Formats: sequence, structure tokens, C-alpha cells
Amino acid sequence: MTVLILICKICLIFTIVVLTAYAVRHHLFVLFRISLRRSRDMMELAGFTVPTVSVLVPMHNEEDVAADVLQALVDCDYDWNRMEILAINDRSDDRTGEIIDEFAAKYPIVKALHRAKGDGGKGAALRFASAEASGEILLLFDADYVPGRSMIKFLVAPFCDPEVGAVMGRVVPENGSASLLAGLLELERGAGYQIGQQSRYSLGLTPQFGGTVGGVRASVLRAVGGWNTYSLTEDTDLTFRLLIRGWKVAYVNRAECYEEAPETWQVRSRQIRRWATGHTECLHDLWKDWIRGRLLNLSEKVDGLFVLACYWTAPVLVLGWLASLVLFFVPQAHATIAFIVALSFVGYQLFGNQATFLELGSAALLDCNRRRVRLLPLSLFNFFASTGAICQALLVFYFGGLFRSGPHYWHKTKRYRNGNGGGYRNGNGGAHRNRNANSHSKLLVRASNGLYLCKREAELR
Amino acid sequence: MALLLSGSVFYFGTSLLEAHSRICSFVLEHIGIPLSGERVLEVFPSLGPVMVPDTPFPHNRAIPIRTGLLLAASLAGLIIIHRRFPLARNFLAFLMVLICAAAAVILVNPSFYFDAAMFQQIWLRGEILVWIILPWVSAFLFVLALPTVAGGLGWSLLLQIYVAVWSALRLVFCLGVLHYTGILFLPVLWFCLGILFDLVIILFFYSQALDRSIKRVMGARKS
Repeated sequence: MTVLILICKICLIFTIVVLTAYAVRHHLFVLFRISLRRSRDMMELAGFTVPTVSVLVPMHNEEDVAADVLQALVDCDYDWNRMEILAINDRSDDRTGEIIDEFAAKYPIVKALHRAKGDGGKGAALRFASAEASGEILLLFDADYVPGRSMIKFLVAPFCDPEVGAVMGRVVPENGSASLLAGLLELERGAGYQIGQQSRYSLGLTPQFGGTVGGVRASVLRAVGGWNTYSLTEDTDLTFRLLIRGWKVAYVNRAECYEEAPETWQVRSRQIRRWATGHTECLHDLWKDWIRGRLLNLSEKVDGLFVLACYWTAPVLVLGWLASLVLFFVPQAHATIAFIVALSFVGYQLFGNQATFLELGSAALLDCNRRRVRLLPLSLFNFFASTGAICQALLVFYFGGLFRSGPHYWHKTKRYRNGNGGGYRNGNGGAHRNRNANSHSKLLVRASNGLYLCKREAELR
Repeated sequence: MALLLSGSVFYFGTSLLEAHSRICSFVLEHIGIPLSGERVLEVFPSLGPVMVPDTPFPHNRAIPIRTGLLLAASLAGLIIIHRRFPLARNFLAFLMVLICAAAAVILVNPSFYFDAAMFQQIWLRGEILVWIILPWVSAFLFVLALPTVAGGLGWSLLLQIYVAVWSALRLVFCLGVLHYTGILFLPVLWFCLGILFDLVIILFFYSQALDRSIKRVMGARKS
């Protein structure tokens, strides 16, 4: 019993140290973000710097959403002489290739790339398309995203800084009212971008290139070895390889792009397990280079390790729960430092969790997102569910060999638009509209000065 | 302000716990759960002794059929919810593990017994610490993050009072359930209605405070 108590105490102290470090970091981010008057995003330069751009859209069985994203990109107000859209039909066996071909026939800036064989995964598709791209800047969009009209101008503006190797925009779920989970994910995404990414960028730490709604310099991509086709999170992998070589990643909070958040837990669970596995792979591959990186300062190195190890917090938390439960119910454990142990237990429960919820709430406040803020108490369920899914993923990652688990595969996230490509099929802008059809026009409004604004921004004005 | 509140909770801890126990006794008497007297309890060595209401818990070994039926019914209920509410699956699975663990202890160790005083000791230890820490949590959630300091302070005080009163009512509910069912649901009740529920209350207040703040900001922008 004495040994068990000792082990539990060591586990608990370890948990408290780890979670307190993350909690302090998140509190700093929130306090910094809410006191930040104006974010530095170089938006004054939007439209003044016009490099040649190749927009890459990898699509694997995306017939439901392919037309929306291509139409939205074609409608962008960027000089057609300086842009091309590379629509990648990545081994699809539905109508995706057909839709891409129709767009390529209709619009000269759309190039259809068909990839019939080769490795699976987004990284492989991007590597294939990058070889065909001629632009100075490669912009990336997933097929379920709907960029606004000025998106390309916003995303290329920070590239006027020669130190910037990659740029990341903000992802906003457009289907937050479709299910409870989607609503909770809207809150979570808000916290991740509005607070996390913005603070990390403004503080000169490590904002992450997310592999969509973002861009990278083509020359820089080649210099760092291109896309890692073996990684499940090729975006994280690229971010850290860029930063190690001294390039900066810029974050543009105003470059909002709409996505479909997972609406069912099965889809979400698969997505978060992929992220956890891919992220942990990157940690194992890159941590030595990251620590040795001569072009990184200490705060970048510390923050980068926090980012890379973020999925480890889930099993550490479970370890802490188990240890504290045992200690709480074993009377012998209370004999010596009962007060401190119990205080620490309660403290980490409240402060550790509170940091996450403070971030969620502050992001909702900054976004004036009244619709979702009332869901905040229910985000505990999401917290529990995600913790379980991450633990499962890491268990398979570290001990999969014991259970003869196969290699990790890329699982495409399910789409919910369930239809006809936003009315594209009939070519008349939407005879068969369904819930989310024609999202482009639904999410954007034209302001009195002729500029297109995202709907929420227009409402706020 | 947070330091003052935390210090006050610690200094007046014994009085607060006694008031908490008086609320429990009052409610228990009025809802008809029989009390077998009062017991003196030492919550923490640094705090004074506290009188808490005592109510008998039955030995589950003495009511095997009822315990078996309760176990089956609760697991069946949780499985149904588990199937219908995928987002809560991990949480519900953990609750099922707690119930099964309690059942296993009852089956394997017949002498194991938990009385009302022991349960209240664990409960009050958790709660008094929550009350001490709560002002600091509120300082971040309500005072620093909300647009008006006065509003933040108001929400913080309201939350502090609400959590203390609500803790007594939750404890009464737990004692009532344990009085009729024995210790089968003890870990589940402590886990769900203890500190976790405090967190839910804090989040509820936080979401309400944010909702009102956003409404005010939007109103000010429109005017």
C-alpha cells in the first residue's frame, strides 16, 4: 500500500506540474489577447502586393463540395493573370474528376490534375500538385472550405515580409447549428485561432500553418524538402521544418474561411485521433532538431515543445485523475501532507480545466458569438470525449505493435453538404439547393462600399 | 479582493461548514429522511471540529435483491443513454466503471462499509478547498476577462454564495440516495455531484456572464 501511495503521489505531482505549465501558458495567451488593441497582420498591404499564386485544392471523393470551393476561388478578386487554381482529383471514384474537368473547361485559370495511383494522403497529393505549380506562392484549401472574395489578397499580404515562409488564415465552422458537437467545435476553433494562434503570432512564438486556408512560398517549400508524404499531419511537420530553418509563419486573423466541422462524434473521433497520431509522430521526428535549432530563440523553443507535446496532456490528465482518486479514498494518504495533496487535486481540476474554458469564453467574447457561448458548460462532454479519443490514439501509437495494429492511414473527414455542389450541377446557381448549398453566397454579403464581407463581420458593423 | 475572499473562507471555515451542515440537517428533516443524530467531524486538522447530520446507510449485503436490481437498472439506463448520446460516451463509460467497481467491492469485501460521516468528510474536504480557490478562478473568469470590473465582481460574489448553498443541497441529495441504496452509487455521486458539478456551475455562470457582456457590447455598438 505504501508503494502504491508513493507511485500515486509521484503521478499526481507530475500531472500537476505538466497541467499547470499548460494552464499558465493559456492564461498568458488569453490575458495578452484581450489586452491586444490591434493585431499585426499586415492587412494594410492587402491588394498592394500581388505575387503569382497557385491555389492547390486536393480532392478525394469530394463531389458534394468540389463545385462550391472551385466556384468560390474563381470568384476571388485576385488578378487572373497572376493566379492559377490547381484542382487535384486524388484517386476519386465518384464525380469529383468530372466536376473538375467541367470547371477547367469553363475557366482558363482552373487546371485539372488527375492522380490515378500512388500513395494515399493529402501530403502525397500536394507533392504531386506542387511539381505542376508555377506560382511564387502556393495557397492551400481543403475541398470543404469556402473562401471569401478577398481571401487570396489577405493571405498573400504578409509575404511582402521576406522572412515569412508561410501564412495561415482563420478557420470558422459554418455548420455550428447543425448539431451540438458542431456548435461545441465552433467554440473550440474560435479559441484555437482567435486566442491561441493570434497570441502566438503576436508574441513572436510559434503560430502553426494548418495545411488549409494558408500558403507557403514555393521556393521555401522546395528548400525544406517539400511535403512529407508519410506524415498524417503534413502541416505541422512543414511548420516546424520551416521554423527550424529560420522562416517565420504569419497568422492573419481577418482571413476567415468557412469549413464544415464534424457533426457526429464518430467523424470527430477519427479526426482527432489522426491529429493526435500525426502530431506525436512530428514530436518524435523533430524534437531534437527543434531543441538544437540555432535560429530559434528560447521562448520559441519552449512554445514549440508545448505545441508538439500538446496531445500528451490527455493521458497525463487521466493518470492524474486515477492517482488522485486513489489518494482521496485511501486514508493513509491523508496522514502527512493531506492538505497539500487535496489542495493540489482541487486546484489542478479547476485551474487546469479553467484555462481551456477561459480561452473558449474569451474567444466567444471577442467574436461576439452569443449563439454558442451558452453551450460552454456542455463543452465538458467534448473535453471528456476528446480526452478518451486522444488516449486511444496514443495507446495505438505507442503500443500498437503489441496488438499487431497496422500502419496509420489517412482517413478523409466526412462531408455533410450532401448534395449537388451548391447548385453547380444545373449550372444556374442552385436549382437543387439544400441546407448548405451555395454556401458561398450564403456566408458572404456585399457591403455598401462594394467589398465582400463575411456575414458575421457585416452583422457586427 | 481574491486574497481577501480566500482568507475569509479559510478564517471562517469552521463557521461556514457548520452553516452548511445546518442547511443539510434542515432539508433532510423536512424531506423525511430519518436522522440518527449528529456526529463530530474533523474536516482538516487546521479547521475546528464540525457537527454534521448522521443518517444510516444500509449494508448492501443485507439487501442483495434490491442492490442487484439497482445495479442492473442503472447499467441498463446508462447503456441506453450511451447509445443515444455519442458525445457523452467516454463520460458514461467512466460512470459505468465506477458503478461496477463499487459492486465488485460490495461482492468481494463484505466488511467494507462507508457511513454518512465518512462521505461528508470527503465531500466537505473537496468543497472547502473549492471555496478557497474559487475567488482566484473568478478573478480570471469574471474580473479580468469581462469588460466591466464591477460586473465581474458581482458575478464572482454571486457564484461564491451560490456554490456554497448548492453544495449543501447536492450533499442532501447524495445522502438521500445513499440512505436508500447503500454504497453502490457512492463513487458515482461523489464524482458527478462533487467537484465536477462545481465546475459545471462555474461554467454556467461564466457563460451567462459572457452572454450578457456580449449583449451589452452589441447594444453599445448599435446605439
